[in-house]
Amino acid sequence: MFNRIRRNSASIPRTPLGVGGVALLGLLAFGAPRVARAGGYTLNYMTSYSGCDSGCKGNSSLSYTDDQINQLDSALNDYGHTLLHKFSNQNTWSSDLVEDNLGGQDQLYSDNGFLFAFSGHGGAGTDSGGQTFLAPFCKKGTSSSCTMLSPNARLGEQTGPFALNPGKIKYLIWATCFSVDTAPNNQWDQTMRYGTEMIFGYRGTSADSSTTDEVLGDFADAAFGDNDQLRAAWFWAIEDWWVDDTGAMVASGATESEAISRRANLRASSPRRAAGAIHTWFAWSWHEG
Amino acid sequence: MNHQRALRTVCLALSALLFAACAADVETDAAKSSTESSVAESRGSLVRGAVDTTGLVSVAELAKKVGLDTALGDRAALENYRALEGLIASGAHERLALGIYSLQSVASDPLSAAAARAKTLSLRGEPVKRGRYAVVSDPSGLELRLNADSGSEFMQDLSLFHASPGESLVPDDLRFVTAARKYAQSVLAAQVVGMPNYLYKVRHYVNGEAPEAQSGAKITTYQVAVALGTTIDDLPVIGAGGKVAVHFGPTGKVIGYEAGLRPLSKLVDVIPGKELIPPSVARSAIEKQLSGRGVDLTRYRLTRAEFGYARLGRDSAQNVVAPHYGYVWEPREGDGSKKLVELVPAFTSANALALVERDAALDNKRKAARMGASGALTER
Repeated sequence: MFNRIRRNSASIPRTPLGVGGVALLGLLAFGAPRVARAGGYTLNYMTSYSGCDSGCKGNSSLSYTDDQINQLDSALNDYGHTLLHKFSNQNTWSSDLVEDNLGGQDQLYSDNGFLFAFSGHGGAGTDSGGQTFLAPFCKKGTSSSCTMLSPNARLGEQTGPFALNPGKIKYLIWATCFSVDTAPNNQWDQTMRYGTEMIFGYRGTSADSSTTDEVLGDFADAAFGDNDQLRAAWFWAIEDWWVDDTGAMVASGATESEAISRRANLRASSPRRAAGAIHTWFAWSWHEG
Repeated sequence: MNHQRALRTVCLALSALLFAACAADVETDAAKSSTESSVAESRGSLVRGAVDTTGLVSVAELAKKVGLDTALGDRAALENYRALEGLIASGAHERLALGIYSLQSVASDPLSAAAARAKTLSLRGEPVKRGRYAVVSDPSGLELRLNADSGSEFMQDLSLFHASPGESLVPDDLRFVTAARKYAQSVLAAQVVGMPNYLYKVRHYVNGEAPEAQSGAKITTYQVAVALGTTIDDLPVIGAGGKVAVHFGPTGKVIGYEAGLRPLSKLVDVIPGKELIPPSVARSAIEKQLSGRGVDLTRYRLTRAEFGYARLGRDSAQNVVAPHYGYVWEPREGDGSKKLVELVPAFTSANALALVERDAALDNKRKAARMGASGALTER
C-alpha cells in the first residue's frame, strides 16, 4: 500500500535532505507526543469569488461563511488559542494548504498551527487513487491552481519525506460540500499518512444558511471548551434535523483497530500521534436519514 | 449576515411586488412602540378561536394517513406550501387567520433551572456555568446542559454518546421509535412533554473503515436517533427548533437526548389571510435577494419549498413564532456549491413583522456577541 504515496508525479517529494534525513530531523525536533495545549490556528472563508483566478471566479457568492468562521475564531480565542491568519476572498490562496515540498506554502499558512478551517464551496473528484476532495480558493498563490486538491496536502507531518518543515496540524475543518464524502480513505490518505489527527466535514452537500452559521462555534465549545470526544462534538454541533446536512469525520491509524479507537476516543486534550507513526487505515462516520 | 437587515430587505422587495406600503407600515408601527407586550395588551381579547387554518394540511391527519410510525419528515411543510398556493389561487385564503405567538420565557436563572431539572431527572451534582450553558455532571457519567439563551436541554452519557461500537445489525426502526416516544414522555419537563406529536425522522449513525487504497468499506451502525416534531395549530414547525431527538446505542440503550422545546405563551397577533404573501411572490423576492448577494441561481435547483411555523435552533434567543416559508436550493449535479437555505416571513402584516424583526434583532445581537472575540482579517 505504501506505493500510493506516489499518487501522481506532483506527489514526489523534492526535498534535498532525502527521506532518512528528514525523518531524523523530525524526530529530533518533536520527540515523544505531548499533551495538547494552547496553539495557533488559521481560518479561511469565501463570501465572494469576484476577482479570483480563472477556474475559481464565477463560483456563486455565499452569505454565512463569514459568520461561521468568526464564531469559530471567537470561541477558539476564548479557549486560549491564538489566531495566526484569517484570510477571506481574494486573500485566500490554495497554496496555503499545499505541501511546501510540492510547491505550496503550508508551513507558513496552515501547517504552522494546530487547526485549519475553511468555509466555502467544495467538491469531490477522482484521480488514480480514487476519490479526492477539491476546494476552490481565490488565488493559486505559489501552486499551479486556485483549486486545492486533497492529494497535494501533507499536514501535521512530524517525520517522513515531507517533514523538511515539520507540520503542526491536528485538525482540519472543511465547512464545504463533499469534504468527508463517500471514500474519505481515498480523499485524505495522503494528507493523514504522516500527520493530522482528525478531519471534520460533510458527506454530500452542506448548507449556507443563517440556521447553520453557529455550527463551528458550537463545535469549538464542545470540543475545546467541554473537551467532549471530538466525533461527538462534531455530530452534536452539526445536528440540525431540518436543514439535513450530513456531517462526517475521519480518523486514521496504523492499524484498523487503532483507527477505530481514535475515531471514538480522540479529544482535544489527546496528544498527537507518535512521531514517525504512519497511518494507512481510516475510520470514518456519517449518518443516514 | 444581518438577519434583521435581510428581513427588512425581503419586506421591501415584497412591498414593491405586492404591498407598496409594507415598509412604511413597519416603520410607523415601530415608531408607535408596537412591542410584543403592547400588541398583546391591545389585542388582549384575542383567543385561539380567532385562528382559522381551514384548507391547510393538518399534521395530525397527515400523520394518521401515512401511518403514525412512519417518519413524516418535511412532508407536512411541503404539502402546506402547495395547499397555500391552491388557496390563494382560488381566493379561499382570505378566510385564513394565522396566529403569531410569544414563547414562554427562558428561565432567568439557568443554574437554578438546571438544578431543578437535575433533581427531576435524579441526577446528582451541582450545576455550574460553562459558557452559555448551565451544566450538571452526574457521577454516573450523565451530563445535563441547559442553554441559557434558548432553554434547550441536552443530556448525554459522556462515555457512550457517539462512542458505541458499531454493529452490523440493529433492531428495527419501529423499536427505536416506540422507545423514543416512551423515553420522551418520561424525561421531558411537564410544560413541554405534550408538545412532540409526530415522528419527524429516524437517523442511523454509521461507521466505515478501510485501508488507504481500498474502494468500499466495512459498514456498521453505532447509534440511532429518533426526532419527534411539534406543531402549532396543527401546522408543522419548521427550522432546527421545536424538536426532541432521542439517541440510542446500537442495541437500544438511551445514551442522550436534546430537546429544543418551549411552550407557547400567548397569542400576540393574528394574520388575516389577505396579508399572507403568495408563495410564488415570496420565492421571487428571496431569489431576487439572493441574486443581489451574488448568488448564481442558475447553478441551483429548488428542492424544498415549505410553509410552517419557524423555530430556531439550540443557540437562539427566539421569543416569537410566526408562519414562515422555508426554501432549500441544492446545487445541480456535479456542482460543488453549498446548498442554500432561507427562512422568510410569510406575511406582510405590519405589527407582526415588527415583532418578528425585533426578535430577530435580539438574536442577531446575541450572535454578534458570540463573535466578539474574533480577530481581524489578514491582508496579503
